[in-house]
Amino acid sequence: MTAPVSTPCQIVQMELAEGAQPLTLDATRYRAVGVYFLLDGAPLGHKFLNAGELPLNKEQMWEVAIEAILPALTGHLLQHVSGAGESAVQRLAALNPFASFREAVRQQRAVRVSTTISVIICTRERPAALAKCLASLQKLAEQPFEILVVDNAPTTDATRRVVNDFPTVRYKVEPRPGLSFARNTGVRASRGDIIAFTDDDVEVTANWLSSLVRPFADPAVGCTTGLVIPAEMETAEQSLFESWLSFHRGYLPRRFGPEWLRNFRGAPPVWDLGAGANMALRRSAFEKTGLFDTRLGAGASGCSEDSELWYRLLAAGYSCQYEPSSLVLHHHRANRRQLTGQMRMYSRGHVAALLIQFARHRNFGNLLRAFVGLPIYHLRRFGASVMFPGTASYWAASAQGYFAGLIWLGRNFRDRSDEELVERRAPVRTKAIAAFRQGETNGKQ
Amino acid sequence: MNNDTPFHRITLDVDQPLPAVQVPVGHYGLGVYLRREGRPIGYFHHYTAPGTRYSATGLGKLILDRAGSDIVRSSLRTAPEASAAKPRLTIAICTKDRAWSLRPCLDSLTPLQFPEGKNEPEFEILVVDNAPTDTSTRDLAEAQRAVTYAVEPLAGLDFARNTAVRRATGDYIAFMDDDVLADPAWFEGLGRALAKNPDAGAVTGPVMPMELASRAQVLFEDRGGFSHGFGTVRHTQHDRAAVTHPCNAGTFGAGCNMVFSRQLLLRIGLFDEALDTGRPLPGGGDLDIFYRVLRADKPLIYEGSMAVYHRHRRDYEGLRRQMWTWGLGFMAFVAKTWQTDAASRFKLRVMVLGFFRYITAMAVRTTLGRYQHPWSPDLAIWEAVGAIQGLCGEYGRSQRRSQAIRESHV
Repeated sequence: MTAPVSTPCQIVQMELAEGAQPLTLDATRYRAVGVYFLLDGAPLGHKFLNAGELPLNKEQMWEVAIEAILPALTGHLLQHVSGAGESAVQRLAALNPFASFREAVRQQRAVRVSTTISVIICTRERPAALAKCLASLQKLAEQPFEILVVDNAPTTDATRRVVNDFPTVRYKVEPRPGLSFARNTGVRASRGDIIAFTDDDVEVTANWLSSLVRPFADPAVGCTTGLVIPAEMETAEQSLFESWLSFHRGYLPRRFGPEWLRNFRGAPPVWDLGAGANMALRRSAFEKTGLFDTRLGAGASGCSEDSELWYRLLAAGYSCQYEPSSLVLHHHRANRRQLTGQMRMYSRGHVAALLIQFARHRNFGNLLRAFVGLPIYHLRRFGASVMFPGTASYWAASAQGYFAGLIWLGRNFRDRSDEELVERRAPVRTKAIAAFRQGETNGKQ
Repeated sequence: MNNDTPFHRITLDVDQPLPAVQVPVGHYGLGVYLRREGRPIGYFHHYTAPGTRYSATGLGKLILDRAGSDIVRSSLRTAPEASAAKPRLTIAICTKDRAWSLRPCLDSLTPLQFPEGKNEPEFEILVVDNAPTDTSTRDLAEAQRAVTYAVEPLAGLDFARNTAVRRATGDYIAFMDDDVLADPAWFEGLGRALAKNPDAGAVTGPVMPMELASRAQVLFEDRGGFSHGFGTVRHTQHDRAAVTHPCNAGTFGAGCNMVFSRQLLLRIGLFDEALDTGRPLPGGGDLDIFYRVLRADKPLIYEGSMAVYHRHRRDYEGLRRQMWTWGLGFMAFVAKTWQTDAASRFKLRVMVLGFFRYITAMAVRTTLGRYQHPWSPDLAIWEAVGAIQGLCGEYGRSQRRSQAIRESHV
């Protein structure tokens, strides 16, 4: 088992177009470094190194880079020689890996998807982080049709003031607390055909959006996701977040189709599709499958509103595409209190999502995971935490979240999102609002 | 599958068109050695039914599936610079009454020692005869063109290795066993590693099977063999790797293909003579020295092009013994390090727990027939028996035995 990265850890990006660069580290400030290798801006691999392993010269760094990028590069090159028949091995050997990859990136970037894109950022009282996020959006290679900030149940006007500094950014308030409410409000208020989501604690890279929307050229694609890497790893908690709750889904594009969902024995790991901090959906897909389930997500049960929606999309026959060339940087939770809360909420939301998925789709794998898989998982993590002193309490929080999720869902099981999904069913809507009010008071207890 | 079920071995150059391959009747699989521009770049073995015929396309598919990344790596690793200075090297081969095995080993080194058109040897070869009972090794060594011969009367591999270190004249000293063959690109690979890592304390490399002539040899490869891939990894004691790093010394290389800076060996106190003594403690010396090199704060380079071929034990009894040896040598190393390096105790404890967890899982899975290879549970049990013996004071007993051997020769 690999130990979490020592902190503080510097995060650097190394562009390999000009070859590997020598690596040194300010040893008075950092105890480790995470190097993310890019080729023409497309991420290919990463490697964490402790301060004691450095400095590395150019040639030593090159050997490190080779081993780090080899899986992704091989996966990419194998596509080139599939169907080459008996000369496939010779062809693979003859390819110049870098030139071939760069050419593919260039060709891919030349494809333009003629569509309107709305970018939605839901935020709640994090003006400093939001300002960084919006600033990074200004540097996108191609500006979207609109950028919309949804201020979720604000208590101050700090968010509004930040948005005012960016004249191209629209501002919208959603008074009901909950990420799903905010996202749904954003979807309704937006006008683009493609709706991209990112979070206020994220900084996007220049090619983020164009890479994220490119797969929509295929009409079967209902949703795309991208790669999320840590923006910084200053504290031990951020390192733990990356090793336990990482949003990282690898460096190879993946296609998840309806058959992937059908063929899965057990609970389909829809969370493997990506992360809500970096995803885009087709508006027509929302119209077909409904909006985010308001019982899920931060502010309600805790999380998984994104993966539960992906589940519905796949079940409705859409495909989801994971596109690692769409890269964003995420600021992980930085202290013990925040990480404990996150662990609790993730666990709470996850078990709720499993049960909701079971209720919707009748796949018993979800039930099995909720009542067998997750308890076993927690026991194992408790066992493993012996090796990492001081981490058992996080798993205690996670276990506590598990039970809290069961209780929460028991009290809030009525599907309030009907109100969001089908506006014309007015009676349901009224009932749902009443139920929501009820739920809100319960949630505070 | 009885014990005479060989695999069909083929060597392929990935730049050349692939042949169609017929697995001969009586052969239960393929052992595929991949080369490129004269260097080894990949190896894998694959079970098939006897008589299976692979078209060039089918074989290509298999190779892309099993060794695609090895081919890509060989494209990324640029050719070594010709200007790279050649290290002053002594290759030491410690042997005991096995001239039949030593001869092909020496033969494989001759073209490296005297490349075409060279009359001066590129390196020194030193054969250390360990407590010989006949003169066959001496006769063989003296018949060679440039082989130095030395005798170590004290029985024990690490007595012989230490004699080699003292007698060697090179800056670096390589250790090979008498049951290996060196790859033609071995010396070039070493030069490459040292040119890129002048601070290296040790260099290791891949160990491929010399033959796959019996079930035992194939099973040994199934268990992982000695192989750690064809990549190049720079290990230091500070690596951010497994929790147990650097106590997991088995992942750094193998004792039949290892090179050290001679000065470093002298400084850290040579090999531990209580390990590798032959029965009853025939192992652990390589783990111990790799660990101590790293703990001396020197990098250990695993160089993917510095390959040798090892003749695994052919008979099933020998394989069992090998498994017992592994468990025993590993735990003797653990027991020793527990005493000598208190800072690593936590890691050692984690490693011992992990080992028994792994062995138990393997014994259970092989019993249920659910392991990925046709392993039988007795091999896992033998490894566990060795491990328990190693934990029950075998290292201390071995220390006393080697002390007695030393005293008996004063």
